[in-house]
Amino acid sequence: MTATVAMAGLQKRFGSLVALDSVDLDFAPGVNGLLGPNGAGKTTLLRITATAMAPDRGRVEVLGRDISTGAGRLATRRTLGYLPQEPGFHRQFSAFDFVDYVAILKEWGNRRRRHDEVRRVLALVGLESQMHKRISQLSGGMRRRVAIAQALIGGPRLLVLDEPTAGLDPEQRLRFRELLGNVAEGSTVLLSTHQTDDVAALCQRVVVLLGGRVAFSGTPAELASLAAGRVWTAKERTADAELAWVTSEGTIRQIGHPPSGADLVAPTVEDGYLLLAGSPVATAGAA
Amino acid sequence: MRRPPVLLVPIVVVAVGGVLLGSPVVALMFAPLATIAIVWGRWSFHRPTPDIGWSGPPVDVAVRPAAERQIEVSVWRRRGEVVRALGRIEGRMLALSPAFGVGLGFCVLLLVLFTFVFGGDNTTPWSENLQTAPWFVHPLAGLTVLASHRAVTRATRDGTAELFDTCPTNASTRTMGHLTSAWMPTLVATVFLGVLLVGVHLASALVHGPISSDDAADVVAAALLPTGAVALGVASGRWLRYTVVPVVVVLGVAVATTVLNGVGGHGWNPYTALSTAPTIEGPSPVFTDRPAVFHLLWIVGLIGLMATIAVLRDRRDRAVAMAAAVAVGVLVVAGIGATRPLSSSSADRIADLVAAPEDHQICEYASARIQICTYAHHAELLPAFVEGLAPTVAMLPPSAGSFVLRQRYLERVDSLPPRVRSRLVGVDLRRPPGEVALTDVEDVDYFPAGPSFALAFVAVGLPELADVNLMPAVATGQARAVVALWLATSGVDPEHRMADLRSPAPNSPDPFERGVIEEVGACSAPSVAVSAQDLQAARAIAGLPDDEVLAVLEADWRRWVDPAAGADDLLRALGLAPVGPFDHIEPRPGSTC
Repeated sequence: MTATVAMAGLQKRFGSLVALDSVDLDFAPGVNGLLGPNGAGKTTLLRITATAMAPDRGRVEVLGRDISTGAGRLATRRTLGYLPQEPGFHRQFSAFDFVDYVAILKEWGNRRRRHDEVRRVLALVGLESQMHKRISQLSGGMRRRVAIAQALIGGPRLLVLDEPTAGLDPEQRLRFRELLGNVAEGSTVLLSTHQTDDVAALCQRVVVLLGGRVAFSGTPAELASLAAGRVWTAKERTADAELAWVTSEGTIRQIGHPPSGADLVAPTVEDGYLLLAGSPVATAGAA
Repeated sequence: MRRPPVLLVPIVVVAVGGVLLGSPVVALMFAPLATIAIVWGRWSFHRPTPDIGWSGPPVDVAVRPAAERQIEVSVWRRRGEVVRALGRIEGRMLALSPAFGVGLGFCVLLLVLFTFVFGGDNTTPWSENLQTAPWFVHPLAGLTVLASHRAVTRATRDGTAELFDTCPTNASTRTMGHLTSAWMPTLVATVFLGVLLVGVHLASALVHGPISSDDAADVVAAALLPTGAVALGVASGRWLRYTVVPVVVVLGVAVATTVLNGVGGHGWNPYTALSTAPTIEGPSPVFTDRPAVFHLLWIVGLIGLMATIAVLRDRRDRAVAMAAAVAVGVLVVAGIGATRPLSSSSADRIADLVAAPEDHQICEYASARIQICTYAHHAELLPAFVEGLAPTVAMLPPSAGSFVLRQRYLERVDSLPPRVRSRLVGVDLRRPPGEVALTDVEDVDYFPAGPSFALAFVAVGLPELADVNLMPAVATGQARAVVALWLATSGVDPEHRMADLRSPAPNSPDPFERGVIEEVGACSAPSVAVSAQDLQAARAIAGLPDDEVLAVLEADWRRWVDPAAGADDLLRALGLAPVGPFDHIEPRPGSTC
């Protein structure tokens, strides 16, 4: 499938800190998950893709247009829906006014069509009955939904979502998955998250960033398979376990080098990611 | 902590203003309005919003947009639509900002003061009322600068700048959207001025005179001030985002206005037209030829320059350079036009109005011996003068002589433009004998009683004006002063007449204050000083039947207007008890505004 977003040799430094280091990635239509610990470079990658920040080196093309040029940036912004990691709000605006404001900035000049669109995206996040409330009166979760709504304006072909489920309760996270599954059809979604179950549920592809470099790129199943034969449960912690935690059944789930005769279990995306992120050997190997 | 409802802000301003100005009407407005604001605020702004769940899949909502953006239209049309849409929403948000609310409060306060409270005292010509328009709009404009600065820095303050920067609308277009929000304060200012002028018209029957194109230019310039305020707020916000900046900017404009209005002291000052609130010149619009159209052009140029500076932050191309050049060009033309010397024809006209007022006036006889003349500009006041003077004229004995009450330029000659002054060199501006000066007809303390006092004082040989040093003539214990007081208050109903003949400070330790019948302070320059005993004598005589007093006066008018005749002599002649001894009065100079 043709890549919507193509990155080559992407580098970004903040002083002595290397945020991105020679990143080469392509993203095709569908939901693409970005996993990685804090400081891995996920947000930097998304901000560069969303034209909010320029890389120090490297090239990014969105739908075949180089975003380092003015025309390329403008074309990208016209196809973009962006949810920053910490979206600000104008607290004195109503939810409708805020989304309407963003819609205007997205060049929805015609008032009637714009207002129809604003009502549509607010309905998508279940806020149609609260759209005229001031944002200062809304809860954190409802504000997050307002932020998601603004990103959906115009049905963008490229949707960049930086930790969209932060602050949402479990029910709302499920609703978000449901929504994203619907709106992602035909679009390219870049989704940064710490929720591996979101990745497992939503993403066709997952990229793991570690220390500004790509540690893994593949399907969620492939990420899970990294831990195949390395996840087991036991009544007590084994010395060779790199990671271990008590499950709800009272057994200890462990990742690492299982002892012979261990009770192996099917690995999850989280197991694969934890093995990757928690293992210096694996990290070094991937790099 | 909950924030107070925005509506409460202007109401508090009105209440505080009312209390400070000692106006019970204004202060009393506070309670019901504040109650409405608080109730409305609690029910609308702070009604708690339950955290609603995200229930149900959006099956009935289209996952894709029903319509696409209008990307097919031209860049300019698209940008224009975006600017207009941003202007609408920013204008709405500006109206809801606390700073703008305070500005609105000032508008309401001024409206109430100059219609309900002081409106009935207004006797000024329309042209002067209209010249005050920029002053009235200034509080709103100043606070609009603050509100606009906060609006344009909102994205940085609230953390939405990154999101907005990733939208296709660029920063310069967003700036133009902010500039377009000027429609809101400009509309508010226009409505405010319209309501104010209608209110002034309804409140006072004595506001008079024609409205010229210059007056219309003044009002348009005033209505445009909020547009300039938005441009100034946006420009300052685009370049300097600190919270203190708009405050400094507003203070800077205030200083600039003060400096420009103060050039040349009290004399002729053409540079006042370059301030945002020009001084209201001269004693009457009759003697002025203001460059009001060039002042309007100057304001337009300043707006253009500020708007260009705002856009220049994010956009530097030929169009912006052209806009800057046009704005500077307009400012140069307006600056030259506003400060250029008066035209010869205007200078000739004004000089002739000063030197030969009789050639430009209309006159009416209040009696066979009393003629009243005003400039055509004040013609509407003439009937009021005649009516107001009628009781005094009726009580004036025939032996008092004939008088002409005439409007005349009585201010300092150096308050006139240089070209007018040069035409008046060597011209005798002294008043002929028997002429009574109708001074500031705009002075609310003077009108309508002023002409009666002027005629009465002149009729008994006392001055109707303080001397060049604003020093009054002392007439303590003189019968003629008592006669003048009696004459001037003729026709007033007994209760008010007695009040008019009392000092506002009867218990003052200062004999001068006990003897004056008007407030002593700024803008007060009485022409005659008497004592508390003279006022007592006048009240005693006023208590007698008019024909009884008139008979005594007519019998020996020359005696009673002789400075040697004492007030006690007159009282005895009327069969009243003497009131002496009289306080010794040390005259003191008055002051003008």
